[in-house]
Amino acid sequence: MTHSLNEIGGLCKRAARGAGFGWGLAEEAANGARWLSAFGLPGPRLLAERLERFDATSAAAQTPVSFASPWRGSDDQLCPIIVGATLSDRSARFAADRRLEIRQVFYPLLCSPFAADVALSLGHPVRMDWNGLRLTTDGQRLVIEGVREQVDAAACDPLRCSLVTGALPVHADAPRIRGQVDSDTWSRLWALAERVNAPATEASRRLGAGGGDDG
Amino acid sequence: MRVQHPDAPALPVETPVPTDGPVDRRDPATVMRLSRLGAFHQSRLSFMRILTRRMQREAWTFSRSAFDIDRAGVGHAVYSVKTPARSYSLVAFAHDLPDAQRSDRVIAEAWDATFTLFDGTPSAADIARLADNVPLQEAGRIGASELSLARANRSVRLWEHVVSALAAGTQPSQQQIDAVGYLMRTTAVYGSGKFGAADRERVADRPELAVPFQVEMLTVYLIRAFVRDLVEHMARARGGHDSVRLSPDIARSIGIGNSTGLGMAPFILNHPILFNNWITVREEAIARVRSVERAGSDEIDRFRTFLARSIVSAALWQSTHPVQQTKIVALRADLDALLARGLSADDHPWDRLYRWGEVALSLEGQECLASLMLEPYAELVDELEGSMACDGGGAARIDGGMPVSELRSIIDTVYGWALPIDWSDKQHCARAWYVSAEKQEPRLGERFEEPIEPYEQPLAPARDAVRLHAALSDLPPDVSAAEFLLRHPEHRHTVRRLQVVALAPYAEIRDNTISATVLPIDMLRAKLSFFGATRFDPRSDRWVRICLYGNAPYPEELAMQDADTWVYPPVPDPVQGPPA
Repeated sequence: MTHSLNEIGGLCKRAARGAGFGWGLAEEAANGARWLSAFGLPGPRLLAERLERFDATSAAAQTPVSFASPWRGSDDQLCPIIVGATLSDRSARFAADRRLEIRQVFYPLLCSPFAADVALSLGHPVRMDWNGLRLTTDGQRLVIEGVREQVDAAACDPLRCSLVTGALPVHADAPRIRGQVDSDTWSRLWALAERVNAPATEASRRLGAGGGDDG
Repeated sequence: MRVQHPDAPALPVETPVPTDGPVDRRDPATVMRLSRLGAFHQSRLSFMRILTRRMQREAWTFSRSAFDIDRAGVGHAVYSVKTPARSYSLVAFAHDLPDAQRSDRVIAEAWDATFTLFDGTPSAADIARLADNVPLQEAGRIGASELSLARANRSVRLWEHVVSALAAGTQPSQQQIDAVGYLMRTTAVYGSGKFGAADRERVADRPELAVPFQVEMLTVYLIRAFVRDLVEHMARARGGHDSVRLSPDIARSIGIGNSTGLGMAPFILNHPILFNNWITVREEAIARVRSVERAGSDEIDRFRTFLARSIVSAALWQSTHPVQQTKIVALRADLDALLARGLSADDHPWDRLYRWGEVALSLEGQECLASLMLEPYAELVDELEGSMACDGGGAARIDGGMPVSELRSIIDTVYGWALPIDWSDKQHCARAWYVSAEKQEPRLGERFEEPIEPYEQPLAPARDAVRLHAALSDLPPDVSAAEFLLRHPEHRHTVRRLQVVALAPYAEIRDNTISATVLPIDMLRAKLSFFGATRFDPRSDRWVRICLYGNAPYPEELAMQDADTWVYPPVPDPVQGPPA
């Protein structure tokens, strides 16, 4: 079964929020999963794994604390959503340095949508490589080279980011306006997303809803 | 600041926005108050009118390729439309719904009729697949070839009256039809990827669907034709050879009802750039007309014609809601005053009229006037419809290099009104928006009376901006947003919103969306006015009933009837205004 990207983004946002992210980072996580799905990559599955694995863990422990390359965390591995958002926020510095290493990032594929954001804003393709896989994007299209199985990597050390000169090759993948999420992943994300919703009470059914019946 | 989002505002937007002429667009601080948004009226830029104008201009052709419905009213039908480049088909399923199961609430599980708009012409296999899913609505599954999912319930009283009259060979009472306005009301029309449907991006580059909500408006337009055919079919099944069809004039007066609940209110808060583009376009149109130096006699006549027809419309407008009743009374007086005032042709007549209205008219009257002024100026206004969309999914990228001094300055400009509010005072935060676990339904609850606060949705942007302002207050001005967000990720959604509203001045509602006195119907009305709805009938402070396509030409009438200004009811006898 295929899903609309709107459904994927909506579910991933609620799941990320349900797992304890603030709304802003939940939006980033959802954008990323949606973007990866459009390229047939397992963004929602890895997001579900990330959210379950570190469920309710304080995000602070997975946030970079040192920004001289390589970026490092305090001792834990770094969250790919927080790393990606931080990279995007600091893209001006990245543009000046042109390359960056980040130590101990888990689920590095979840970082790659932020490479797309940075590429779009800088007007240059950005490459991320980890564990022998190279992923290059100009924000619109994508090329994966090397050890493709590493899209599923649970962790890497380091994650390398670099600014690429020149355009992407013509055979680069273009996004589709549809995604495929397996039913197991869907139910796992759904279970997390359900935490965002208030259990219904008779009072809320009667008072809080917008709609009614009057013949 | 960089424009980083694919959804960048369609028109240049700075505050206040200079136009080519002498009159600027109105100040967002004036326009974006809930009381004014809740007084918005349809206009030339409404989505229904944009669609019917295009249908006529491009000579779309319509056909009914299936109508397989039995004597009990159960079966399916297919209504197809050919545009210059493509075809679309409404696949309709009619059901025999026991009265006890008829509910307009989103938690209902069965309906009198269910629908999908298919992208192209469905095969027999497609129909079979849709028959297994569309009647289930949210519990079913549609796919990339389906553009919308909708359902409707009968107005039981009017349905029976019309069927029995037609079955007996007589026409139904126009008075009874006018009292209700519709034979069926939709209780949801979903698009944009809901329940598996195609994403907006799939169709956004098609000229006929580029304007917002054209999929939904086309779905409802075709539903109306189906409902007319179904009521005639049921009358034939009951009356046989004695039955008659609806007279075209009576049929045309029947629209499709729509019951709109709270879901639309979060929509306009969650799509700030899209909402900005709608408002910007209407404000630009108003500014262009107010900038006209001299009005021709044709333009003045046209304005008077639509003023007279608006007076008829206001006379027909009924509501049982006390707030709306008061507004309707004021509007009727306003329109009479407008008629009495007259209009001179020279020296920026529309600007002078508008400025007079600012003092003399209620908000209902002012916004009705603002929309009416656009009617004579198709050439100034209609081209703006191309700037109403906002395509590109997902959230805008944050500019992490922005210093916190700039964030503070945006808060001062856009949310300055909210800074003095004591947001811990119960009356200012009495409500909380949340989503119910059953059916994912948006609701508005009482924060201090229900256990909902942990589930609060981020739909109080002003409160959140004030919280951010406090968090920024002790920081040196040159600290970057990136540094701040690293330590305070809980403010990330607010920083993103600030950067959006700094670029899009009409994106943000300048009112408290969680106060004890907030009226969600104001948000619903603002959105529905852009659909082209009229005669809003709030049934509480959080849901509203409207009618769509009343008096619009049916598909077979499009070529010879007015496909633009049908929204104004005809004037029974000519109404003479005072001389100019």
